[in-house]
Amino acid sequence: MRKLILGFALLLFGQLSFGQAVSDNAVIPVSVTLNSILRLTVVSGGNIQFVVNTIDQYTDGIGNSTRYTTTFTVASSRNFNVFMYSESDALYGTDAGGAMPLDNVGYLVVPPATGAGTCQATLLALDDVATKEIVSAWAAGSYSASPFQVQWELGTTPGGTAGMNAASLLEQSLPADNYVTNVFLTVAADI
Amino acid sequence: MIILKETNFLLLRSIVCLLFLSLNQLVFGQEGADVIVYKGNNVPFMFSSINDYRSLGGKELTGWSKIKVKLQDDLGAVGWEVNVSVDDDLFDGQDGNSFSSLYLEVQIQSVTPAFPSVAGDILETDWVPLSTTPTVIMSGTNLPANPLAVEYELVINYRCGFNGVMVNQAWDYYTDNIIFTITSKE
Repeated sequence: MRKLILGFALLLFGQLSFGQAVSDNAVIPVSVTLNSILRLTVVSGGNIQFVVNTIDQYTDGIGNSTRYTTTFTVASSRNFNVFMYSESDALYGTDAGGAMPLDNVGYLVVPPATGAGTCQATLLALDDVATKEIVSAWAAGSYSASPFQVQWELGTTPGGTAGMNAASLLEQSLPADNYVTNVFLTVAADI
Repeated sequence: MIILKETNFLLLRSIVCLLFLSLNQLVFGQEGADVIVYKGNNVPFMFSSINDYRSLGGKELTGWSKIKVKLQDDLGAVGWEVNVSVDDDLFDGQDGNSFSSLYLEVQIQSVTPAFPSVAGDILETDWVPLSTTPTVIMSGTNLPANPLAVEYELVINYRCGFNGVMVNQAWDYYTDNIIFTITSKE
């Protein structure tokens, strides 16, 4: 009798031991590589040339038109900032070697129709500060169909507004020359 | 002489016990489970153009993995299931960035042999976002009196970045582990 009870007990124990859920798994490693996409392309207006050849232009400056507009596109997988600054602290004459102050040149930025962020939408004088943001925290994406525009003008605010030179080109009595500088456009992720 | 008899009795009792255990195992011990990945045991996603990031459909690896799931349980299982989960709710980047594991999804493209085959079987054919909480993608029922034997081959699709969610994610190399599990239900 005792053996029989022992036998049943063992049987029960065996069932408890082996009656648990069976299970197995497999592990699949997954990797995601996010490569940096950050590209700025000047589409047009890569060489802006103001020609001042009338007294009116010396007095009132030259306003913006499509001829004095730089368009650029940006493609970025992250929100981005665009910086713009002059290579030198003035426009230097190639012939006589004189200098025209940078603040004779003004610009404003027209944003694309899509996206969101802030940009320099009001007139501002050009300077050589490398940290000058003209587009800030703009939404990531591709803006090839609807580019940014930088609208340039020269000597248009003799009143000295927007940080531009208070004196007209005429009042500054700059010698005739071909004044040049390079302007850098830089895009960086908004981190 | 008496001592010898006692020894024999103990030996006999031990043998009987072992026989019971062996019999029990022979009757009920036909069980086991396997998940075998024999194709696509590494899932790499690479985003290298602005369209990769912006695509509303995300990036897909179609028919990437083939997985065999097997289960045998003769101990009165009432059913079985296959579930999928990840190790970590965040994909960890090498540079310290992270994004949600929900941005990665799996889908059963096909099952061989045909499934579901009987009432009570469930097959998830939609995309399943992944998290550490297991999501059942296949399940079946069983009468406890019947032995349970399951063997299927799954073809798995993967998708990452649906609805353009990878836009504005930090550039990095991210990793996580997907876990496919088959288990019986007692």
